[in-house]
Amino acid sequence: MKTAAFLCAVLAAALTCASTAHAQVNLEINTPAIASLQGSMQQRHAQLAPLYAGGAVGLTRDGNVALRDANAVPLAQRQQVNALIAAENQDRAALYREVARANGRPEWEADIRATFAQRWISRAQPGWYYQNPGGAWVRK
Amino acid sequence: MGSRVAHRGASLAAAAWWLAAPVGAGELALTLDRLDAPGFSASAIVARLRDGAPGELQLTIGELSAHGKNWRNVRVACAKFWLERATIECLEGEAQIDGKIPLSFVYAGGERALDLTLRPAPKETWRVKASFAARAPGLRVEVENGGLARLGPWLPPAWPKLTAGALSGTISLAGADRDRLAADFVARDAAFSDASGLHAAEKLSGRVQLTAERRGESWRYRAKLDWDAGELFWQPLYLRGSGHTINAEGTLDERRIAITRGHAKLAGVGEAEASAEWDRSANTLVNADVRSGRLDAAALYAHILKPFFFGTALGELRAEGSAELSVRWRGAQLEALDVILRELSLEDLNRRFAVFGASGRIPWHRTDDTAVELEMKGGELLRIPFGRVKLPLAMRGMRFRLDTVEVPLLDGTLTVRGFATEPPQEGWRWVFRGSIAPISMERFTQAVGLPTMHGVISAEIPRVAYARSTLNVDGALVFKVFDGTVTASNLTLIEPFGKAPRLAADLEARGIDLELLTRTFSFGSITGRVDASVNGLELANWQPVRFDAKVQSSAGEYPRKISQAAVQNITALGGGGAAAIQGTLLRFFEQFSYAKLGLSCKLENGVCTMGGVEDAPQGYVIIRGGGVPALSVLGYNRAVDWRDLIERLKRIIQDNVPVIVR
Repeated sequence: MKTAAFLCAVLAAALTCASTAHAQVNLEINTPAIASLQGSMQQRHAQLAPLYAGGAVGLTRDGNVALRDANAVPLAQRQQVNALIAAENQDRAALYREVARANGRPEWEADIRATFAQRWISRAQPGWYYQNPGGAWVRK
Repeated sequence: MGSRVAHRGASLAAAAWWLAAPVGAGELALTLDRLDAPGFSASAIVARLRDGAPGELQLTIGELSAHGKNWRNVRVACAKFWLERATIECLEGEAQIDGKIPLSFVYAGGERALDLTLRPAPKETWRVKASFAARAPGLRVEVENGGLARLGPWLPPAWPKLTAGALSGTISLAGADRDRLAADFVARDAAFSDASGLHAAEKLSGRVQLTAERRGESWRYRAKLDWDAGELFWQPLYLRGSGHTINAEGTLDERRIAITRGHAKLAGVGEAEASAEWDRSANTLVNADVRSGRLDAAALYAHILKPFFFGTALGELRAEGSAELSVRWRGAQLEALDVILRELSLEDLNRRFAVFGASGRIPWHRTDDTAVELEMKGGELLRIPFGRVKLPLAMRGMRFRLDTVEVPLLDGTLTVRGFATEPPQEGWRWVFRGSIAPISMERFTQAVGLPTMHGVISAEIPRVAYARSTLNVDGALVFKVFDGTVTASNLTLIEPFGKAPRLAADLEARGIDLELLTRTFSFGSITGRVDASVNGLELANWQPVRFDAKVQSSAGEYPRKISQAAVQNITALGGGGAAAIQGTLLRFFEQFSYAKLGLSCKLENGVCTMGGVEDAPQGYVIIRGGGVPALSVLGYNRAVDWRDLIERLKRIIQDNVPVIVR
């Protein structure tokens, strides 16, 4: 029921869901916390983008990023890549939580994370790696 | 002319026998079905020998296996070959085994000694001296510029793969039962990596010295490792540089590896002594003792600890000072940890917390009662500085207790009573009671970056509880500001050290002196008093997300005056609606009288829904005039963008310039 209402909320942007009109999640919602998280993620993206393109880092099915192939990064930078991944995942977790809270639906955090996961993957550039629903890495 | 010799289960000595057998003139061909020795077997062996001085040898081995490695069609050819009564010698030989390897050897039948030299590459030599004599068997390998990558097939498959580097040195195995091992190698520019790249090294140079002696079932060893150059990534650690050393001695058997005496030096960080016992079948560290010398906190954090804290509040620190550690590990778990701190400072680079000049001793034990003697010169918590604190923390396992601690907070004191933690389940949980003795608002507002306000903060806090990343404050914090009181209650702080801390509270203000307030904020002058309430206040990342706020004139008798500048500013805040100044002549007056003023803002989704003292046609009344000269201010915009409102307010406060309303 919860998931149904959530999906309805996501679809609500394009369609009408008369039955659960009150349950709308706005994924584009903006609060100062969300803006600051997005700003921090945007800044980090400049460092992450070449790692996505090189296959070192990929997008996971649970809305995080993960080290896919450390060999694609010079030895001296591998620890730094770990730090980037940890910081990015920390921001992402906070973002999902904030979007849920800002919508007044903290209990929907997991669904929001799942929706974002699909969104990141669909917006990924060709050549980037992502995890398919089975958890295997796939090159887009 | 030919002969066929069938051997089953032959020894290496037997192989030597048939090679040493006398041969006649012309060509001799020998075939051997199979030859076995411990760790070695060969089959379909054909040797062709052309007689002469020197003669010529062609040897093919259909299948060769040694130490679990297999090769097919191995060929050895000797262009100069001597077969004499006591010696077999091969010069200008070549083996075809994973490529062509030039070789030469001499076998002395009397001493039963083999001296084999392989030169797989220019300047690369592997010399094997083996003695098969029963009274003094031995093996010695001398390597000069040996390609490390060649060792790959001989190492356990689970180990990272050696990909580059050169090895020079010797390894020898001696004693009647091959029970004395000695090795001394220098490796240069070594590189290895596992498939994932999480355990890898490049340009590694250093020296390994090892001696070992077998006693019964176990080996007694002594090892020394000097790291001179290169870099190593062993997830999550990254080490580089030179001057790192490890010395260890102990025993090794089927069941366990023990270090009875170990010493490690990490250049720049410090030194430590250790003993340890590793269970090989369970793959666990059973017992260990580590005692460090003085460790440099900055280097220890940067080189060792930091990667373990990535993604936590401790992931980006500036560290200073030194620490000494002593660790006791028993029965595969931590039993005791003793930390001595000297002038240790830790500062979060995101300025969420800091500790300065901490010195003392933290003697933790898993089951026993212990007491911390720790003093810090000061620190900072969420940008609020605190002074010298002594922490007489009592510990027992994962339970920590504090009696009463007085923390100098700005110019006042925070008293913490009965601090206690619960063993972590789903994160840490702790509680305390406390009080705040007056802190001046001047210091507080400056510390948190607000415009300077006057007054004091004081509070009696019945209970502060932290659980599941959420801090709850029971009771109320009372701020005495602007001659009135502000009470904060239902205070909750979610993830105070997280990426997006969230604060929720209800505020009530009584009898705030508007003259003091407006002077502080350079707002133009208002005389009078207000009461205010902010219900359901929610801050995310210290910025308001939601609240329902109302400000209005307090009840009672007091002078009510407002300056023209303040009128204009209030009008601007009312959403840019037109001010209803009753008659243009009024603009010649500096001050007006009013009967009541009030403004409300309900913030939701970035929009402030505004109201006033009462509704008016097409708007609401912000100031209702009364007396002479009287003036009323109306607001017309019901919905104002919160960011616009803040921008306007900032302009009014910062520039001290009234907003012009047309």
